[in-house]
Amino acid sequence: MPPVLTRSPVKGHNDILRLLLATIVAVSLASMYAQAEITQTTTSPGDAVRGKTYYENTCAGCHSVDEDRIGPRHRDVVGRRIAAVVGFEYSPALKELKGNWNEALLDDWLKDPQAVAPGTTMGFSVRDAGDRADVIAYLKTVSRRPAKKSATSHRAKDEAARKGVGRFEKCSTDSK
Amino acid sequence: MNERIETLISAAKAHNEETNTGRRRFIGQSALLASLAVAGGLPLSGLANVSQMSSGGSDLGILNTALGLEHEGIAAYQIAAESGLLRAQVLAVGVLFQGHHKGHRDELARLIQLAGGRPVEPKSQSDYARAINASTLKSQEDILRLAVKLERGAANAYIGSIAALHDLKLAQLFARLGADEATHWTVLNNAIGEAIPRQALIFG
Repeated sequence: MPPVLTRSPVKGHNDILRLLLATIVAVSLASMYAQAEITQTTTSPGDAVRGKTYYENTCAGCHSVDEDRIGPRHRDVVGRRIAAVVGFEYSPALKELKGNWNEALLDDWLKDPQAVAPGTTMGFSVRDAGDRADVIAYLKTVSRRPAKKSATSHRAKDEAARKGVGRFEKCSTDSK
Repeated sequence: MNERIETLISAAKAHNEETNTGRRRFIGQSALLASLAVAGGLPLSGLANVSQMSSGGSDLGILNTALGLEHEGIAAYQIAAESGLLRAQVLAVGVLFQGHHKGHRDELARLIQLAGGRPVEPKSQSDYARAINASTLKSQEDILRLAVKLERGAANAYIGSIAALHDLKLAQLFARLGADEATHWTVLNNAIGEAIPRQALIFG
Protein backbone atom coordinates (compact mmCIF):
# COMPACT_ATOMS: atom_id res chain seq x y z
CA MET A 1 0.00 0.00 0.00
CA PRO A 2 1.51 3.38 -0.89
CA PRO A 3 2.59 5.51 2.10
CA VAL A 4 0.12 8.24 1.37
CA LEU A 5 -2.72 5.91 2.18
CA THR A 6 -1.21 5.14 5.56
CA ARG A 7 -1.62 8.75 6.75
CA SER A 8 -4.03 9.00 9.59
CA PRO A 9 -7.38 10.65 9.00
CA VAL A 10 -6.46 13.25 11.63
CA LYS A 11 -3.28 14.31 9.79
CA GLY A 12 -5.23 14.59 6.52
CA HIS A 13 -7.75 16.74 8.31
CA ASN A 14 -4.94 19.04 9.49
CA ASP A 15 -3.75 19.47 5.91
CA ILE A 16 -7.20 20.50 4.85
CA LEU A 17 -7.35 22.96 7.74
CA ARG A 18 -3.96 24.41 6.74
CA LEU A 19 -5.11 24.73 3.16
CA LEU A 20 -8.32 26.39 4.30
CA LEU A 21 -6.39 28.76 6.56
CA ALA A 22 -3.96 29.64 3.77
CA THR A 23 -6.88 30.30 1.46
CA ILE A 24 -8.54 32.57 4.01
CA VAL A 25 -5.29 34.48 4.54
CA ALA A 26 -4.75 34.82 0.79
CA VAL A 27 -8.29 36.03 0.22
CA SER A 28 -7.98 38.49 3.12
CA LEU A 29 -4.69 39.87 1.78
CA ALA A 30 -6.16 40.19 -1.70
CA SER A 31 -9.14 42.00 -0.25
CA MET A 32 -6.90 44.34 1.73
CA TYR A 33 -4.81 45.01 -1.37
CA ALA A 34 -7.90 45.71 -3.44
CA GLN A 35 -9.16 48.06 -0.72
CA ALA A 36 -5.80 49.84 -0.74
CA GLU A 37 -6.05 50.23 -4.50
CA ILE A 38 -9.51 51.74 -4.20
CA THR A 39 -8.32 54.07 -1.46
CA GLN A 40 -5.39 55.13 -3.60
CA THR A 41 -7.51 55.97 -6.59
CA THR A 42 -10.11 57.85 -4.61
CA THR A 43 -7.86 60.03 -2.48
CA SER A 44 -8.25 62.91 -4.91
CA PRO A 45 -11.54 64.77 -4.46
CA GLY A 46 -11.36 65.89 -8.08
CA ASP A 47 -13.82 64.91 -10.77
CA ALA A 48 -12.01 63.46 -13.80
CA VAL A 49 -14.89 64.23 -16.17
CA ARG A 50 -14.91 67.89 -15.21
CA GLY A 51 -11.12 67.81 -15.34
CA LYS A 52 -11.15 66.54 -18.92
CA THR A 53 -13.40 69.42 -19.97
CA TYR A 54 -11.18 71.91 -18.18
CA TYR A 55 -8.09 70.35 -19.75
CA GLU A 56 -9.52 70.52 -23.26
CA ASN A 57 -10.71 74.11 -22.86
CA THR A 58 -7.63 75.42 -21.18
CA CYS A 59 -4.53 73.25 -20.88
CA ALA A 60 -4.96 72.15 -24.49
CA GLY A 61 -3.86 75.62 -25.56
CA CYS A 62 -0.30 74.40 -25.09
CA HIS A 63 -0.46 70.71 -24.20
CA SER A 64 -1.88 67.46 -25.46
CA VAL A 65 -1.97 64.02 -23.93
CA ASP A 66 0.10 62.27 -26.57
CA GLU A 67 2.12 64.91 -28.43
CA ASP A 68 4.73 67.43 -27.39
CA ARG A 69 3.55 70.91 -28.30
CA ILE A 70 4.37 74.18 -26.57
CA GLY A 71 4.58 72.05 -23.45
CA PRO A 72 5.37 68.35 -23.06
CA ARG A 73 2.86 65.55 -23.51
CA HIS A 74 0.85 64.53 -20.45
CA ARG A 75 0.44 60.80 -20.96
CA ASP A 76 1.70 59.12 -17.74
CA VAL A 77 2.58 62.45 -16.16
CA VAL A 78 1.31 61.42 -12.71
CA GLY A 79 4.18 59.52 -11.18
CA ARG A 80 6.61 60.49 -13.93
CA ARG A 81 10.02 61.88 -13.11
CA ILE A 82 10.15 65.67 -13.51
CA ALA A 83 11.41 66.92 -16.90
CA ALA A 84 11.63 63.37 -18.23
CA VAL A 85 9.90 63.44 -21.63
CA VAL A 86 12.61 62.44 -24.08
CA GLY A 87 13.05 64.96 -26.87
CA PHE A 88 11.25 67.82 -25.14
CA GLU A 89 13.40 70.85 -24.40
CA TYR A 90 12.67 71.84 -20.80
CA SER A 91 13.67 75.14 -19.25
CA PRO A 92 16.72 75.10 -16.97
CA ALA A 93 14.40 75.89 -14.06
CA LEU A 94 12.47 72.68 -14.55
CA LYS A 95 15.55 70.59 -15.27
CA GLU A 96 16.88 71.54 -11.85
CA LEU A 97 13.88 70.10 -10.03
CA LYS A 98 14.28 66.57 -8.71
CA GLY A 99 11.66 63.99 -7.93
CA ASN A 100 8.41 62.83 -9.48
CA TRP A 101 5.11 64.46 -10.29
CA ASN A 102 2.83 63.35 -7.49
CA GLU A 103 -0.57 64.84 -6.74
CA ALA A 104 0.64 67.29 -4.11
CA LEU A 105 3.41 68.59 -6.34
CA LEU A 106 1.08 68.86 -9.33
CA ASP A 107 -1.33 70.86 -7.19
CA ASP A 108 1.44 73.27 -6.17
CA TRP A 109 2.65 73.48 -9.77
CA LEU A 110 -0.75 74.26 -11.22
CA LYS A 111 -1.41 76.79 -8.48
CA ASP A 112 1.78 78.74 -9.17
CA PRO A 113 4.44 77.28 -11.49
CA GLN A 114 6.79 80.18 -10.84
CA ALA A 115 6.77 79.46 -7.10
CA VAL A 116 7.72 75.81 -7.69
CA ALA A 117 10.32 76.47 -10.39
CA PRO A 118 11.22 80.16 -10.54
CA GLY A 119 12.06 81.07 -14.11
CA THR A 120 10.01 78.31 -15.70
CA THR A 121 8.52 79.29 -19.04
CA MET A 122 5.02 78.28 -17.92
CA GLY A 123 3.17 81.31 -16.69
CA PHE A 124 -0.32 79.83 -16.73
CA SER A 125 -1.81 78.99 -13.36
CA VAL A 126 -5.05 77.40 -12.18
CA ARG A 127 -6.22 79.55 -9.31
CA ASP A 128 -9.25 77.53 -8.25
CA ALA A 129 -8.44 74.55 -6.01
CA GLY A 130 -11.43 72.61 -7.31
CA ASP A 131 -10.31 73.04 -10.90
CA ARG A 132 -6.82 71.87 -9.94
CA ALA A 133 -8.21 68.77 -8.25
CA ASP A 134 -10.35 68.04 -11.31
CA VAL A 135 -7.42 68.40 -13.70
CA ILE A 136 -5.23 66.16 -11.54
CA ALA A 137 -8.02 63.58 -11.38
CA TYR A 138 -8.16 63.64 -15.19
CA LEU A 139 -4.38 63.40 -15.53
CA LYS A 140 -4.51 60.30 -13.34
CA THR A 141 -6.81 58.67 -15.85
CA VAL A 142 -4.20 59.11 -18.59
CA SER A 143 -1.41 57.86 -16.37
CA ARG A 144 -0.75 54.17 -15.98
CA ARG A 145 0.72 54.30 -12.53
CA PRO A 146 -0.83 57.10 -10.51
CA ALA A 147 1.35 58.35 -7.73
CA LYS A 148 0.13 58.10 -4.17
CA LYS A 149 -1.04 61.40 -2.78
CA SER A 150 1.62 62.73 -0.50
CA ALA A 151 0.58 63.60 3.02
CA THR A 152 2.64 66.75 2.97
CA SER A 153 2.64 69.58 0.51
CA HIS A 154 5.50 70.38 -1.78
CA ARG A 155 6.35 73.44 0.25
CA ALA A 156 6.45 71.38 3.41
CA LYS A 157 8.88 69.06 1.67
CA ASP A 158 10.93 72.02 0.58
CA GLU A 159 11.08 73.08 4.19
CA ALA A 160 12.19 69.58 5.09
CA ALA A 161 14.84 69.78 2.38
CA ARG A 162 16.26 72.89 3.99
CA LYS A 163 16.58 70.84 7.15
CA GLY A 164 18.51 68.19 5.25
CA VAL A 165 15.77 65.62 4.84
CA GLY A 166 15.75 65.74 1.02
CA ARG A 167 14.02 68.09 -1.36
CA PHE A 168 11.31 65.80 -2.63
CA GLU A 169 10.00 62.67 -1.07
CA LYS A 170 10.04 60.07 -3.76
CA CYS A 171 6.73 58.45 -4.41
CA SER A 172 5.99 54.80 -4.92
CA THR A 173 6.34 55.06 -8.69
CA ASP A 174 9.89 56.25 -8.56
CA SER A 175 11.03 54.07 -11.42
CA LYS A 176 8.87 55.95 -13.95
CA MET B 1 -23.88 76.20 -41.14
CA ASN B 2 -23.05 77.54 -44.63
CA GLU B 3 -25.42 80.51 -44.23
CA ARG B 4 -23.90 81.28 -40.89
CA ILE B 5 -20.40 81.16 -42.34
CA GLU B 6 -21.39 83.39 -45.25
CA THR B 7 -22.89 85.91 -42.83
CA LEU B 8 -19.67 85.82 -40.89
CA ILE B 9 -17.64 86.26 -44.04
CA SER B 10 -19.65 89.36 -44.97
CA ALA B 11 -19.14 90.70 -41.48
CA ALA B 12 -15.43 89.94 -41.72
CA LYS B 13 -15.18 91.74 -45.05
CA ALA B 14 -16.99 94.77 -43.69
CA HIS B 15 -14.73 94.65 -40.66
CA ASN B 16 -11.67 94.44 -42.90
CA GLU B 17 -12.65 97.50 -44.86
CA GLU B 18 -13.33 99.34 -41.64
CA THR B 19 -10.06 98.12 -40.16
CA ASN B 20 -8.08 99.17 -43.20
CA THR B 21 -9.54 102.65 -42.98
CA GLY B 22 -8.83 102.65 -39.25
CA ARG B 23 -5.33 101.32 -39.83
CA ARG B 24 -4.54 104.10 -42.30
CA ARG B 25 -5.84 106.62 -39.80
CA PHE B 26 -3.88 104.91 -36.99
CA ILE B 27 -0.66 104.86 -39.03
CA GLY B 28 -1.10 108.54 -39.70
CA GLN B 29 -1.66 109.25 -36.02
CA SER B 30 1.22 107.00 -34.96
CA ALA B 31 3.59 108.69 -37.36
CA LEU B 32 2.56 112.04 -35.95
CA LEU B 33 3.02 110.82 -32.35
CA ALA B 34 6.39 109.30 -33.18
CA SER B 35 7.51 112.53 -34.79
CA LEU B 36 6.41 114.45 -31.72
CA ALA B 37 8.14 111.97 -29.41
CA VAL B 38 11.42 112.12 -31.29
CA ALA B 39 11.25 115.86 -31.62
CA GLY B 40 10.53 116.25 -27.92
CA GLY B 41 13.01 113.58 -26.80
CA LEU B 42 10.27 111.54 -25.13
CA PRO B 43 10.76 107.80 -24.50
CA LEU B 44 8.39 105.57 -26.43
CA SER B 45 5.76 104.34 -24.02
CA GLY B 46 6.22 100.77 -22.79
CA LEU B 47 9.67 100.10 -24.13
CA ALA B 48 11.65 101.21 -21.11
CA ASN B 49 10.18 98.60 -18.77
CA VAL B 50 10.52 95.76 -21.24
CA SER B 51 14.13 96.61 -21.95
CA GLN B 52 14.83 96.28 -18.24
CA MET B 53 13.84 92.63 -18.14
CA SER B 54 16.84 90.45 -17.46
CA SER B 55 17.46 87.76 -20.03
CA GLY B 56 16.91 85.13 -17.33
CA GLY B 57 13.73 86.69 -16.00
CA SER B 58 10.51 84.74 -15.92
CA ASP B 59 8.73 87.36 -18.05
CA LEU B 60 11.12 86.65 -20.88
CA GLY B 61 10.55 82.91 -20.66
CA ILE B 62 6.79 83.40 -20.63
CA LEU B 63 7.06 85.71 -23.66
CA ASN B 64 8.94 82.98 -25.52
CA THR B 65 6.29 80.43 -24.59
CA ALA B 66 3.70 82.81 -26.03
CA LEU B 67 5.79 83.12 -29.17
CA GLY B 68 5.85 79.32 -29.45
CA LEU B 69 2.08 79.35 -29.19
CA GLU B 70 1.83 81.88 -32.01
CA HIS B 71 4.20 79.87 -34.21
CA GLU B 72 1.90 76.88 -33.75
CA GLY B 73 -1.20 78.96 -34.49
CA ILE B 74 0.31 80.27 -37.74
CA ALA B 75 1.29 76.74 -38.76
CA ALA B 76 -2.17 75.37 -37.92
CA TYR B 77 -3.86 77.94 -40.17
CA GLN B 78 -1.31 77.18 -42.89
CA ILE B 79 -2.05 73.44 -42.65
CA ALA B 80 -5.76 74.23 -42.85
CA ALA B 81 -5.25 76.53 -45.84
CA GLU B 82 -3.28 73.89 -47.72
CA SER B 83 -5.65 71.06 -46.86
CA GLY B 84 -7.97 71.72 -49.78
CA LEU B 85 -10.89 71.23 -47.39
CA LEU B 86 -11.85 74.87 -46.91
CA ARG B 87 -14.30 76.78 -49.07
CA ALA B 88 -12.89 80.01 -50.45
CA GLN B 89 -14.79 82.26 -48.07
CA VAL B 90 -13.80 80.26 -45.02
CA LEU B 91 -10.23 80.23 -46.26
CA ALA B 92 -10.34 84.04 -46.42
CA VAL B 93 -11.30 84.22 -42.74
CA GLY B 94 -8.57 81.72 -41.90
CA VAL B 95 -5.99 83.82 -43.70
CA LEU B 96 -7.23 86.91 -41.87
CA PHE B 97 -6.86 85.20 -38.50
CA GLN B 98 -3.45 83.83 -39.46
CA GLY B 99 -2.45 87.42 -40.19
CA HIS B 100 -3.40 88.37 -36.63
CA HIS B 101 -1.18 85.56 -35.31
CA LYS B 102 1.68 86.79 -37.47
CA GLY B 103 1.18 90.23 -35.97
CA HIS B 104 1.32 88.69 -32.49
CA ARG B 105 4.46 86.76 -33.44
CA ASP B 106 6.21 89.87 -34.68
CA GLU B 107 5.35 91.90 -31.60
CA LEU B 108 6.43 89.16 -29.20
CA ALA B 109 9.69 88.53 -31.09
CA ARG B 110 10.41 92.25 -31.11
CA LEU B 111 9.95 92.52 -27.34
CA ILE B 112 12.06 89.43 -26.67
CA GLN B 113 14.89 90.85 -28.75
CA LEU B 114 14.49 94.22 -27.09
CA ALA B 115 14.95 92.53 -23.72
CA GLY B 116 18.12 90.81 -24.93
CA GLY B 117 16.52 87.41 -25.37
CA ARG B 118 16.51 85.06 -28.32
CA PRO B 119 13.09 84.49 -29.88
CA VAL B 120 12.22 80.81 -30.12
CA GLU B 121 12.29 79.53 -33.70
CA PRO B 122 9.31 77.80 -35.26
CA LYS B 123 9.38 74.02 -35.57
CA SER B 124 8.95 72.27 -38.91
CA GLN B 125 5.53 72.15 -40.52
CA SER B 126 5.53 68.36 -40.15
CA ASP B 127 6.16 68.72 -36.40
CA TYR B 128 3.17 71.00 -36.13
CA ALA B 129 1.04 68.69 -38.26
CA ARG B 130 1.81 65.84 -35.87
CA ALA B 131 1.27 68.03 -32.79
CA ILE B 132 -2.23 69.04 -33.84
CA ASN B 133 -3.06 65.60 -35.21
CA ALA B 134 -3.66 67.01 -38.69
CA SER B 135 -4.02 63.57 -40.25
CA THR B 136 -7.44 63.26 -38.62
CA LEU B 137 -8.83 66.36 -40.39
CA LYS B 138 -11.20 65.14 -43.09
CA SER B 139 -13.63 68.03 -43.55
CA GLN B 140 -14.07 71.77 -43.20
CA GLU B 141 -15.98 71.21 -39.99
CA ASP B 142 -13.12 69.12 -38.54
CA ILE B 143 -10.79 72.04 -39.21
CA LEU B 144 -13.17 74.59 -37.71
CA ARG B 145 -13.60 72.48 -34.59
CA LEU B 146 -9.84 72.18 -34.20
CA ALA B 147 -9.48 75.94 -34.68
CA VAL B 148 -12.14 76.56 -32.02
CA LYS B 149 -10.22 74.36 -29.61
CA LEU B 150 -6.85 75.97 -30.33
CA GLU B 151 -8.17 79.53 -30.16
CA ARG B 152 -9.98 78.90 -26.88
CA GLY B 153 -6.84 77.33 -25.45
CA ALA B 154 -4.74 80.26 -26.63
CA ALA B 155 -7.12 82.82 -25.11
CA ASN B 156 -7.01 80.94 -21.82
CA ALA B 157 -3.23 80.58 -21.98
CA TYR B 158 -2.76 84.34 -22.31
CA ILE B 159 -5.32 85.27 -19.69
CA GLY B 160 -4.11 82.59 -17.29
CA SER B 161 -0.51 83.80 -17.57
CA ILE B 162 -1.14 87.44 -16.77
CA ALA B 163 -0.81 86.97 -13.01
CA ALA B 164 2.71 85.58 -13.45
CA LEU B 165 4.02 88.63 -15.29
CA HIS B 166 6.00 91.23 -13.39
CA ASP B 167 5.78 93.97 -16.00
CA LEU B 168 2.33 95.54 -16.08
CA LYS B 169 2.75 96.64 -19.69
CA LEU B 170 3.39 93.04 -20.66
CA ALA B 171 0.32 92.06 -18.66
CA GLN B 172 -1.66 94.55 -20.71
CA LEU B 173 -0.19 93.13 -23.91
CA PHE B 174 -1.20 89.62 -22.84
CA ALA B 175 -4.74 90.86 -22.18
CA ARG B 176 -4.84 92.30 -25.70
CA LEU B 177 -3.46 89.10 -27.22
CA GLY B 178 -5.98 87.06 -25.26
CA ALA B 179 -8.79 89.32 -26.48
CA ASP B 180 -7.73 88.70 -30.09
CA GLU B 181 -7.81 84.94 -29.52
CA ALA B 182 -11.19 85.25 -27.82
CA THR B 183 -12.48 87.16 -30.85
CA HIS B 184 -11.28 84.36 -33.15
CA TRP B 185 -12.92 81.79 -30.88
CA THR B 186 -16.21 83.66 -30.88
CA VAL B 187 -16.39 83.82 -34.67
CA LEU B 188 -15.38 80.18 -35.16
CA ASN B 189 -17.56 78.88 -32.34
CA ASN B 190 -20.54 80.60 -33.91
CA ALA B 191 -19.63 79.23 -37.33
CA ILE B 192 -19.83 75.63 -36.13
CA GLY B 193 -23.14 76.36 -34.44
CA GLU B 194 -22.04 75.94 -30.85
CA ALA B 195 -24.01 77.85 -28.26
CA ILE B 196 -22.59 80.85 -26.48
CA PRO B 197 -21.64 79.74 -22.96
CA ARG B 198 -24.33 80.64 -20.45
CA GLN B 199 -21.99 81.31 -17.56
CA ALA B 200 -20.06 84.54 -17.16
CA LEU B 201 -16.26 84.71 -17.07
CA ILE B 202 -15.93 82.48 -20.11
CA PHE B 203 -12.14 82.58 -20.25
CA GLY B 204 -9.30 82.39 -17.80
